[in-house]
Amino acid sequence: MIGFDKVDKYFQSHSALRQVDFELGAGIVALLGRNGAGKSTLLSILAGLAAESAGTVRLDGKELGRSRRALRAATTLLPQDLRVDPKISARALVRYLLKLRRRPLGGLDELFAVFGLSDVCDRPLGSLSGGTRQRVGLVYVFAADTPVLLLDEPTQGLDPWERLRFTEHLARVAAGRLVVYSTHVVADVEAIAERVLVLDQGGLVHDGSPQDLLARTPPVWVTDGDQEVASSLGSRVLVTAVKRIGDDSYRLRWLGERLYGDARPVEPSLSDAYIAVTGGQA
Amino acid sequence: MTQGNLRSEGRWVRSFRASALALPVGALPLAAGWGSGSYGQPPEGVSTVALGVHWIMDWLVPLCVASVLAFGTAGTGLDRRVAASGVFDLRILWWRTHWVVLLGSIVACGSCAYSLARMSGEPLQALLAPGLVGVLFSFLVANVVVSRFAASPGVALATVASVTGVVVIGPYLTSFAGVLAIDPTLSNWMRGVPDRGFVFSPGSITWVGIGVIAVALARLFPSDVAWLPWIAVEGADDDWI
Ligand SMILES: Nc1ncnc2c1ncn2[C@@H]1O[C@H](COP(=O)(O)OP(=O)(O)OP(=O)(O)O)[C@@H](O)[C@H]1O
Ligand SMILES: [Mg+2]
Repeated sequence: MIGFDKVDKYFQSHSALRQVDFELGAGIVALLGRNGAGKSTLLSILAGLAAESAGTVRLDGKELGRSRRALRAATTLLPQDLRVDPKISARALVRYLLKLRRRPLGGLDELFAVFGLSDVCDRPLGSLSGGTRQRVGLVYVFAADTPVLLLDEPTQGLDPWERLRFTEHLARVAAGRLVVYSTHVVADVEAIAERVLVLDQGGLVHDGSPQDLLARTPPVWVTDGDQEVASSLGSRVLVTAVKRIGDDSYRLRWLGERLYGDARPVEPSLSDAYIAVTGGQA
Repeated sequence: MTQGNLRSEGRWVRSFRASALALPVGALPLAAGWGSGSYGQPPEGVSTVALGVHWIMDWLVPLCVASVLAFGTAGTGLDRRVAASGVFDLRILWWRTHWVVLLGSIVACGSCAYSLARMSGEPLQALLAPGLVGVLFSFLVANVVVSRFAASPGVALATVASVTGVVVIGPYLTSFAGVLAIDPTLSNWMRGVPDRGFVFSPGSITWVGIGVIAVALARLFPSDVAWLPWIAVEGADDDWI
């Protein structure tokens, strides 16, 4: 549906995206990357709210010129930290947003029910908890019902139950649609993503299925050691987990060389794989 | 949401905005002018009250409307990352979102002209026409500053009040720019001529024309909101865009 060819984005001299290439068809795509990697910037360009500094963006095979109206009509973005008027109700907000975009208003009650908001959707947004407001944003995105849904950290502030509810609903509505969502929660990716894009300092360092990401991971080792081992390891290899298991005793997990004879090899997890691809620099 | 959280955690800092001084600073020329007697000598046959009410309608009313609109409409409304994906361009949406304020300003200007005309004996149209033109000009400036450049409330107030202030006072105080004056009557009186001018002066047409062109240019360049650099800026709150 949407393709990027060698897309760059600069803010003054700072480069936020470099030479990003991909072709996104229908499916659920997770966007991973460290803080400042360029996820929100990428989503803004996908949503037609920001323009690339160089390169081309295609929608359904057609190269987009200066007008991004078609891209905006085809996509719905849930921004990271949506700012809302605290005085109006969730129902009023979602209805207003849909009217502004000329989207049908039907099915709102069911969506509020799906996200457990039936009881609170007439209360002012300012009186709702942060995670509850986040779900109001999700209701807007799903109600807008566009062919492309872009979610910037949609699971932030959601409790495990609500995350489950969200992923279930996402899986249900994803058929024939493109959903791109950024996240820092690797568990979210395991649950639903068919494809993972990993950004690192503006560059695309992985584009493939979660299995591909696991397959490119170097060997993972686990051993127990004291504080000294723990601190020396950090400077030599990429440590992916440190767990305190007793006084001055730690269980350490790292990528790459075996280093210690008593280290045990373990199956890489997605979080090891993620650290491996983004671990180029500290 | 971040904004709310920060506020409740007490980390929300709103310091003094020096640009809020724009209004009193903008009002200084009037005070200084009256103080030094430069507005005080109406020509033969014109009362000081008549001169005063022209100043109020030509200058004070547009400047007040400019300040209210700039400060009141900057950074308002929906999160623009969502609003920008609506069917209306954000720069057009400004007129739709604030039509009550715009209408209110026109009504306020009208009632001000009416009561001042009753009080001073000046003909209503001689006060209403320049007042409305000044107010309309301030709408156009506010639209460009707020919806094209997304200035924060303080900066918008300072900019819109300064531009409007210069346009609505400058021509009366400078001898060579008299033709650009919105109110031909006041312009004549300031040069010691007791005649009235035709209410739709060349100055009115020029300034409204310039304003309309500025609004059109701000809408056309860039033609698509994606090229406005501030649309997708994350979590920028109202005051610091
Ligand atoms: N309007 C802007 N002006 C200048 N620099 C910007 C602007 N927006 C983003 N950047 C820079 O671009 C880079 C990418 O930012 P972006 O918000 O896309 O990161 P992100 O991956 O979404 O991070 P996070 O996980 O923290 O949300 C950062 O270095 C950021 O400082
Ligand atoms: Mg982000």
